Order: sequence, then structure tokens, then C-alpha cells
Amino acid sequence: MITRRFALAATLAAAGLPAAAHHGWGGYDAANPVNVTGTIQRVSFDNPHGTIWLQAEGRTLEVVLAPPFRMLNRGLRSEQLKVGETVTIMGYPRRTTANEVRAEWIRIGQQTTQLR
Amino acid sequence: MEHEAHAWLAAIEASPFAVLMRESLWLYPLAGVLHVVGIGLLLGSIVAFDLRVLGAARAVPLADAARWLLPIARGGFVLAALTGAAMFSADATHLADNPAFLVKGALILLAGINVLLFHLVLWRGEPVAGPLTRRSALASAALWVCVASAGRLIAYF
Repeated sequence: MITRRFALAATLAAAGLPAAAHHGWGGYDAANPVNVTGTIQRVSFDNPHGTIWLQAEGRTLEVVLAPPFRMLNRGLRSEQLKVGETVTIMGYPRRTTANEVRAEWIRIGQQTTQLR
Repeated sequence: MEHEAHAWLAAIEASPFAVLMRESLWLYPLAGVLHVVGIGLLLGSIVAFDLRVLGAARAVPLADAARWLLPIARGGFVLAALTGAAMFSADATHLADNPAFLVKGALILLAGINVLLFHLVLWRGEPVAGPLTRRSALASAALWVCVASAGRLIAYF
């Protein structure tokens, strides 16, 4: 099912525009954390939050990361988030929208970066 | 109607300024810092003035309190409004869906109506005596505190 928000995100994605979500942690279901390993399709290292679109389990998952400044301070550079790279994230699904997750951490190779 | 609003928001988000707000590493955090500074100036000065209207610190003449505090409140509001608009542009479509943001917008509207009521009707170089003036001052303090609170809560929805 394609929700309105997802349709908007897809539209913006098609237009080549970043669609960084600005949702607080409260909008995500912390009681149901998910671990996902997938391939990066698209990256936005933008304010207010970075976002990656992960191809995983036959679908595209929008994964909301942290503000760029925080990621840099914790040693995660934009060059490490490459299209085609395989990464693992742990995060919480958005309550109101399918296929959107807010990541608690992201693992690239041996490096795990906390995002909260 | 809703479709039109979304087209508008998407256009704001696609503007060169909004792109700059997103892509610059430090512009968005800087706007966030200055936003808080603006809120501090606005809230501190307006609550002090409202308390004076309500009868606190009678040793300070009301006209002096107004002359000192209201320009600080205006300056704080302008700073908060400009930096808020800048941050809004970066993320307009999502913020328009955020319940705390919508509540904040409605509260700012009410606070603005109260400002007009106070300065156009209840202020003649000094406040017009009466219960409406006191209620307006009380509403001002309460509304601006709630505006700041709702703003903080945007990050939790």
C-alpha cells in the first residue's frame, strides 16, 4: 500500500530532491525495533537529518539518520555512505507510515555509529 | 485545497534557499541556536512586562518598563521568526504534518491577536485600567510560554 507520505517522498525522490523527514522519536515505535541489512540506493547527507534509501527484502526502506553534524562528530563521513554499499541498521518503524525507519545505529563494515 | 497547500510547501522546500539550508553543514544548526536566543529574548522580556502590567515591581514606572522591555521582545520575535522560517523552508512538507508545529502556529496567531488587542485597544501610553488589560497580560505570558513549549515538542512527534 502506498501512503500519501510515501507517495510524496517518492515524488520528491523522482524529482531528485532530498526528502529528509523531520519527525521526532515519538513518532516511531520503539517497542518494535528492526534490524535490516540492505544496499544503499540513494543518500542524502542533509539537514535536519540525513537519510538513506535501503534496498532490502524486496522493498525500499527510507532510513532516517542523524543530523550531519552529529554523524561527523561521531566519525561517520558522507563518503562512507555510498550508493551500492551494504549496511546494517537497527531502528524503529514509523507508526503512521510503512517503509520508514528511524535508525538507532548504523553499521558499515566494522564501524558502528550511534545516531541518537 | 490540500493538494494546493502541498504544492506550495513542496515549492518552498525546492527553493534555492531551502536547498542551501539543507546542504550547508552549519547553517541549519546556526539557525537553531539563534532561534533559541530569539525565544529567550522574547519570552524573558515579555513575561517581565506582563508581570509589571499585572502589578509586580510597581517601583518601575510602566512607561519605562514598556520602553525597555518591548523593543527586546520585538527584536527577539523577529530573530525567532526569521530563523524559524529558515528552518521551516528546509523541511516544509514534513513540518506541516507535525501536530506540535500546527499547535504552535495556532498559538502564535492567538498571541498575535492578543498583541494587537493590547496595543490598539488597551494601551494609551499606559495600560487602560480594567480586568481586560490584566487578562490580556496574563494571556500574553501564558500564550508565549505555550508557543515556546509547543516549539520544543516539534522534535518529539
